[in-house]
Amino acid sequence: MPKGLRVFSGRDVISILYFGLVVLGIAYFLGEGDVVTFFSTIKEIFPISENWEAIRQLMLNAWNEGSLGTTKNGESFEAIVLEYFPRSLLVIITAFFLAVTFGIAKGIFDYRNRYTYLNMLGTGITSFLSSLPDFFMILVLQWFMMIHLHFIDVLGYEQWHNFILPGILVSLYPMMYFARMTFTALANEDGEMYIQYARAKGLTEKMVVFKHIMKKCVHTILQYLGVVMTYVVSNLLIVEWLMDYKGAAWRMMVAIKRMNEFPEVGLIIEFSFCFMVLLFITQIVSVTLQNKYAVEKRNMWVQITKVVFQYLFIWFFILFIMSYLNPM
Amino acid sequence: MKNWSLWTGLLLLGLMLFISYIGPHLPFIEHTPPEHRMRFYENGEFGRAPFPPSKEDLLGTDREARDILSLIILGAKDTLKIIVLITVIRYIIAIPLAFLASTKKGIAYMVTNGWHSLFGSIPTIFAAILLVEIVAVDELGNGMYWKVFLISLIEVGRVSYIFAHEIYDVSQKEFVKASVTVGSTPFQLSVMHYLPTISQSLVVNFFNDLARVTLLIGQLALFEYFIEHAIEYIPGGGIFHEEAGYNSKTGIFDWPGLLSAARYEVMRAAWIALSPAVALTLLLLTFQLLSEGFRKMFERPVSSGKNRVVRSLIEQVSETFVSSRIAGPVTLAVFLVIVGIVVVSGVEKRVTEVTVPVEEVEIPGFIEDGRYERKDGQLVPTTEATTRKGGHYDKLSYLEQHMTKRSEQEYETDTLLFYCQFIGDGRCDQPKITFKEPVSTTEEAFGLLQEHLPDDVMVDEIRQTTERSIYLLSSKRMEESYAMTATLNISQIKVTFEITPEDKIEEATVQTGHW
Repeated sequence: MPKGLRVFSGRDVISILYFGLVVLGIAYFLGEGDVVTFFSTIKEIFPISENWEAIRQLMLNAWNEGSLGTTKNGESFEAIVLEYFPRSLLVIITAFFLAVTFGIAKGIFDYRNRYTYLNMLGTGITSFLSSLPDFFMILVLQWFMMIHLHFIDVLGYEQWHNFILPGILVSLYPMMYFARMTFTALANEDGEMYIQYARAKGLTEKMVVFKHIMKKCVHTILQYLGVVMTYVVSNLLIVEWLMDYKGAAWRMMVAIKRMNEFPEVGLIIEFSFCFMVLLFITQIVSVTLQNKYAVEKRNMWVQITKVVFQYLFIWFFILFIMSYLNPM
Repeated sequence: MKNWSLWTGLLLLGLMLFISYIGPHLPFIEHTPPEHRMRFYENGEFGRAPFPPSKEDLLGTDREARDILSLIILGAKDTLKIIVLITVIRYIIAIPLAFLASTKKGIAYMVTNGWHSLFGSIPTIFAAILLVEIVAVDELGNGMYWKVFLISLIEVGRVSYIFAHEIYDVSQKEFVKASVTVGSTPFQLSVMHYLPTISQSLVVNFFNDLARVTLLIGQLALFEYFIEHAIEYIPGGGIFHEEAGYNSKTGIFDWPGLLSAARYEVMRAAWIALSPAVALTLLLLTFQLLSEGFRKMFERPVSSGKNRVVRSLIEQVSETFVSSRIAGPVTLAVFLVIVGIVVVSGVEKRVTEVTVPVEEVEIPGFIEDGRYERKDGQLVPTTEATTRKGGHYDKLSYLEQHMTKRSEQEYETDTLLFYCQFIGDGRCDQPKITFKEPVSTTEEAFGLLQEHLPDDVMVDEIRQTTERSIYLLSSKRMEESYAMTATLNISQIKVTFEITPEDKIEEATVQTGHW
């Protein structure tokens, strides 16, 4: 092998042995000293045959009736998704938009003020806010608004403007993440020749940052769009749950929570599919935009196919797990 | 003190260890929950739990009048133990995998990469909820360890991916290639070159992962998934002593367990939700500061010279220590020893005392006017019912007299179907009412319910939306009859009528409180 320099023949064998060891170790520990107990428990928890049956049933339902099922009141799951998902979509779009625009702005601000006394306002606040747990921020803000800002209608979803507040809350954490990533990307370019050249030409600092450094960094920064969306979705779960905002994430959690009373597996699958599609679209947009700003253009379609396969893989894994979501 | 994040982090870590090991022996800690939820003061006033923060209880109490400061201190050790355990398991599995995957090819790399891209693309909290939900861990004896393994497995891929790339980068360096030419085996290479190089980032990343795990178990708790203590929340606003509210089966709450009350309490008694949130946040900040501090320490071997002898001596020692090869391994070893001690000593389960000394509480005379009697040292209201035909918070026997009994929880009249959602002290709490014939207006529906609501009920407010209309009511009789033993807002009743898409009303729920 020319690239790896040292070839460890049999590394794969050792890998397989290692996986076996890990599985056995876990089995020994969880089976309380008895490996067989563990495997029989696993068999009990994950009955393979029933699982296939569940998936088949679901597919049949979808094929024959065009629906994955109905709720207790006889509403089809699709109607529920159409009712709840738009509410969440508004929040997601608001949050994503805020996170990206303000995140980049904050990153640039942090970069430009990194050596001035404003640094505390810049990187200081960014790293402080991004190290606070999201639930803490939401709880404190919610509490603060309940006590000091009565006029804001915190709870509710009926009015048209109700999505703004959850949108802002959801966007905070991804915004700080994006700001940090922008800052890192910009700071990595420090001391490069082209920057010195641009400064030597007598360009203003603004011109240097926006026209030269930013243009080169956009490619790197765009890589993080997918992660930002992941953070938005995960924060959405928490915000909707804590604020009782009746959106898709809230409805999905309710369905998961009352699995034992009346199972709505189809509904959970449909909601997660919607979220997966969102993540997928963001990833595709990210890849396309990256390609647009790349210095050396590579074949975009190869990357897009890669993303498609990655998400198909993830989706099948989620589907596989969900087929075990059965009432106990 | 240039590396302030390291020092602050160490200080906070010291505080956390102090709280978890010495804290439970401090004199002001309440080890047993109090018997009564009421307190009587000298001037004849009295109050009901939860009590806000005061001199007596610095952080207030929860609904069972337990002191939150005590709960937090008692739960600290369990919280730390779980977090460290999850992270240690994750690293034990991930690091050898990273070594195997470091050539960026072969099975190990494929697994690492797949694992990373799988759980890296979906929100971690979502993956954790799904995994915990499908494994019916509560039925297993060692369910806690199942959950620990599940949660630690989620991010094994990420950790292993990071280190595989780091080791790969090192393997491309000149000194490694030189070592290969003199005939070092991969094992020798790993021990001599890879481990010392990555051990520094291992320490940094380990603390970072501790912080991530803290965040994750905090988030899980908000959705009421717990690792260690099975905690039950029985909805209903905590009307009955034994039944509603938060209860931990072992009597101990770890911090996530306390935090889980947040969703219900942040509007009413913010201190119950905020104190554990602050505690978890502090813990998370500790880990992050340590991670940041260690990174700075390894990054910055040169420090500014000051003329003080002791200081320069310390600096010299630490400089030689940091710049020498052993810095990483020694920190790693010290750190592993500490982790080992925490895990091993944490595994011993605490035994909770079962016997609770019964205290007699002096009851002011004004309560003893026949509305309450004492049974086994507890106040019990004597009022049977406040409604004419049986309803919310009435004795089941009273309901039986006026309605046809279908089962323990279900009662029937000509027009209505009564379903008691909760039963405690032989009372029907917060019933759900189904109209046999769907009613078209809320006024009519409310009229039908009138006989099943307290007879002096007053309508405070009516809220109308397209999907439901809510009547906020209050009743003085309820207050007089039950206030001493039930929740704060027993006099307030909320009736919610669900409006179906066909503009009919089929269902109504009666709840306590106006929120």
